[in-house]
Amino acid sequence: MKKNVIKYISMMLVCMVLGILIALQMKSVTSREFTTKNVQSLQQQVLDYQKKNELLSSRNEELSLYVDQLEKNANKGGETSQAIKQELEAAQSFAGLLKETGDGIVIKITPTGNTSVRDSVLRLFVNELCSLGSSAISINDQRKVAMTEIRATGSTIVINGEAFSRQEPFTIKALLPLEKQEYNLNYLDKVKALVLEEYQGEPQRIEVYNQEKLEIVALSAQSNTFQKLQ
Amino acid sequence: MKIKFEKQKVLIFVSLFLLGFVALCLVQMRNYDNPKRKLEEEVHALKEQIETNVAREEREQQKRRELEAKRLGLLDAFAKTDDDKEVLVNLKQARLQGGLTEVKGEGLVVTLNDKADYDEKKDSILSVVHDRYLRTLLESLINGGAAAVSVNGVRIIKDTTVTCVGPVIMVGKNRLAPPYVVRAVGPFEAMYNEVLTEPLLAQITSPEIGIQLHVVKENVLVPPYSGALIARPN
Repeated sequence: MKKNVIKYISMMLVCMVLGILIALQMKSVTSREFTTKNVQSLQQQVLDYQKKNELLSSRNEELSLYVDQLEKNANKGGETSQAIKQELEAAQSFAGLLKETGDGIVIKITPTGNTSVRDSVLRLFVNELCSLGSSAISINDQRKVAMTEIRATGSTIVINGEAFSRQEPFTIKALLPLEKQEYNLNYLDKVKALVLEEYQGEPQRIEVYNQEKLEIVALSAQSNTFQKLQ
Repeated sequence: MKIKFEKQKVLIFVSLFLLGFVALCLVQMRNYDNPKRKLEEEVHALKEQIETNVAREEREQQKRRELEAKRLGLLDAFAKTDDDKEVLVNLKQARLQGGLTEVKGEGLVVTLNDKADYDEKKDSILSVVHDRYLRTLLESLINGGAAAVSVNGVRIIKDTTVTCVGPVIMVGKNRLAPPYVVRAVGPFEAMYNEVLTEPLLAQITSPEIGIQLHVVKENVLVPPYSGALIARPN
């Protein structure tokens, strides 16, 4: 009898210990959420949200001021027309529907021998120009807008629905501020070196140079890209 | 009988030892828990801050929608001459082309996510969504004829860049984390085919790399660019 009691108590104790250990293990698993890494990630999220909200708030203030002014000008027809025209110009410029002129950079890619220009190379340079802060870009005088496709289809590359031979040179023009001219050229030269290294077997000449009074065409209203959103 | 008694003693000893051991563990855990508890409190505080900021963002977006509606109403009401009306039509078209207004229509919702249960010790770094994957997906949709595209609610405009910054991807000035939900309005069959036949996307979704890509055809709403352009009157 006594033997059994001791056995039961021992069993009970062992089970209790096991239970506690399992509970501790579970606690340590759930506490993994509370790591320094997670805290840093959350802190970053808070900062991002704060930045975004401040931006939204300041833009709402601008919009609110604009609406107030429109209301004040309600009875002054001429001023209202002027306001609408100004907004139209700004929106058209933003959408790439106006011709832009300024200083910038030209990238000319010329295939040599039997090679063809790659669409991925054009996209790479366009992306890099965007990240450098270019306000307007064109490829073979096709304005680059949000939904511009740069796609190789056999022997051509289609841009805004227009096909260009891959055996011919492609010219990318981009408006970029003069102040960063040297930095931009150095940066694009590095991109050029990477491209030439990656496609060693496909000889091509890539020229990158500054140009003053560069003209970037507007997106044509007849282009496929414009017609997508009617 | 004597031997049995020894056994019982041993059992009692072992049990007490274990009890003591656990008690010690608990005490140590309690001490160890202090910095943990601080972290825990910090995490809760940060989560609360995020919730507050999410609510503020929703309020600001709502305010913005109301102001935009008011602005459009005023512009419509003020356009009295035919010239004004034509300008207004052009303005609406320019805003649509620039991504300054929302676009609704048939399209695709494509979700791109890291490998399920990604383990940085076991899995390849290729099993995490990189900027190149997202860029390729966006390019495929555009090549398929997309008229408007957004990533996690961020509208793609003419100079939007997609770049990796540590474990997240910057889309324009927005820091986004996976899963990346891409919404595209446009001819869904052409876009679907482009996505399915894109070599890089096929490669990264192979079982070896395991990137998750889900494509759903549905009616899509692509939000406007949140940094809308405002021309101020003189």
